[in-house]
Amino acid sequence: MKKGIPNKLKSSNGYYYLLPFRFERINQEKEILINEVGDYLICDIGTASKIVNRQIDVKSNFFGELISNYFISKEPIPALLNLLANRYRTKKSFIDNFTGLHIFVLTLRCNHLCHYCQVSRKNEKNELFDMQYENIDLSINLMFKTPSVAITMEFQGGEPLLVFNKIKYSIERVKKLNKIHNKKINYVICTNLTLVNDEILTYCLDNDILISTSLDGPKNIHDENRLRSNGPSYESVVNALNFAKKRIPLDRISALMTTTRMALNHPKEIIDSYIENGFNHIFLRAISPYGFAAKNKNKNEYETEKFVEFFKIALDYIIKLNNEGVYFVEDYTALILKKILTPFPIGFVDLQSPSGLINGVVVYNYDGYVYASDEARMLAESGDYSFRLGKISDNYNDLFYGEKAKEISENGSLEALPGCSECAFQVYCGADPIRNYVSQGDTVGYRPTSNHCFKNKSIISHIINLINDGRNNENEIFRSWI
Amino acid sequence: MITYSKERNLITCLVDSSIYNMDIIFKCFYWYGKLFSIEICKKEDFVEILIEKKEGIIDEVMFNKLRLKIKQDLIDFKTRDIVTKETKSVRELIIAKAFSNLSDEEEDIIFTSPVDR
Repeated sequence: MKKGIPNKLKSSNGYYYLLPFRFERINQEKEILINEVGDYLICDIGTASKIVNRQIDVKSNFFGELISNYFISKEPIPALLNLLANRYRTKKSFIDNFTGLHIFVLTLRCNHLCHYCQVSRKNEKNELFDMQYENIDLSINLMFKTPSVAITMEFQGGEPLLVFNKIKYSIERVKKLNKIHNKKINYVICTNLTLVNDEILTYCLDNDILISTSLDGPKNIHDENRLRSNGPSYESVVNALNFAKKRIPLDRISALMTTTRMALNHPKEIIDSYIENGFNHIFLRAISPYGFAAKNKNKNEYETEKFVEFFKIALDYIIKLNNEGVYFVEDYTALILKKILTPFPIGFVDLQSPSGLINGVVVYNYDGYVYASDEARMLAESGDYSFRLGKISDNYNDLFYGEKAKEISENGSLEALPGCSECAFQVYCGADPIRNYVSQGDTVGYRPTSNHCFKNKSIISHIINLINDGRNNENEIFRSWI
Repeated sequence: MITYSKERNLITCLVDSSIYNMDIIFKCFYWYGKLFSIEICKKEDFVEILIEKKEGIIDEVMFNKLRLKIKQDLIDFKTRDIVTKETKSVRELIIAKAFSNLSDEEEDIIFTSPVDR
């Protein structure tokens, strides 16, 4: 035995040291090893145990693979430690940027009556639920204090086009102030589109504003979910969409769907409706347990297992379409693929650790308060202000780095959460303290019964199995999505 | 040793604490909490784990499946525990270096592959 090297580190014919990694079974035969920076190896079950017990032949190709992928090292402190640290820093570089997404809820009024409305919209005539001009000014001042060089200013509602004059006012003020701050600013309006007109679309085009709308699928599904006070909304949305497409490039318009209980049975029809309406991507989004969605359980509550099945059928169908020459992307899969297949982080706040609350997003609400996320203001409409950071008129440091912000951030790191700290998928997943709080009673959460955990583990594992299997060109298709 | 009492609707595991420490046992049985009520008692040189189904009964088929799963899970969590403890210092070093102010020279090596070195 070499002097100074503990016996337990000796392999069959050499020595090696472990580097941090985690492992998980992904099917009956295979397990995945994932290191601290997200590099992975898919191996036979029992491989992790062999590595740990020093049963890997140092002359084998697999030994070389483990070394080059940072799972083991020939030295106690690997020579490429700095490189590994840089990779780690890159994965976490979203922290450096701090708050990039600034949501402005200029009104809670809406001209729709969706049964799953998670923000608990108000009657379209009731102007008490509009943000005051003074608070718009103060919110913009706060937004400019963020260290992030790139900012997304997103207008949500209610239906923000009910107060288009305030959107215009906000953007003009931001443009004026940005001559001093010199930040890169993207604008997004989240709208049901039914109020668009030539003036609005021209303004969107002139200011490079991205439009995000809601389309739940074909007419029968969309109209079941999304009603206007004067009847179904599908026709008016599609007409508005066609009108908008004539004025604005299609890549400046995107749509989101919400999966209701009814939608679970129609994955292919939903995807087909997106293609028919000219979209080349879809975000298959499970319903969130906030606002009216939590109250109207008969239409909106379902087991997460059913959503995962829906997701898998939809993804299979999308892969089939791609193989037939139709370029079409599932956005959630694309986000996870970026985490699996590239060294870079993603900006999607639900898949980050530390969590995207405050770090990635804040909401300036019509009520004059700042919230830690979109879900935080949804919760406030139910009378729970646990994630309210303070008044829009408060000091930036007190709001973003104060006691409340610290309290909210405390359970926002997967690295320190029970059940997550040793989960192999940690580096591909994200912390969601508010979801834990809403569904399980506290921000720590309990992973064995967590729908968020089950959904993400199932989907990530499914994507990895598709990559590993690759029999339907999944590798090529997936790489074209990122 | 894993035994099953049909009368008491209870599975009892006796785990050698010289092989499986409390960290391993807690992390392993944490995941059984969805369906089962778990009680962990430290004895002199072993740990006793009482597993009771929250709803319904544990039949012979379920017991046999659980017995295999528990054995495998204990080994997996022991393996994870070894990795976590053996790599603690390296992990701390990686994180410390990742968030320290590196010199420009060090920053330049980002994404260099081992074969390029």
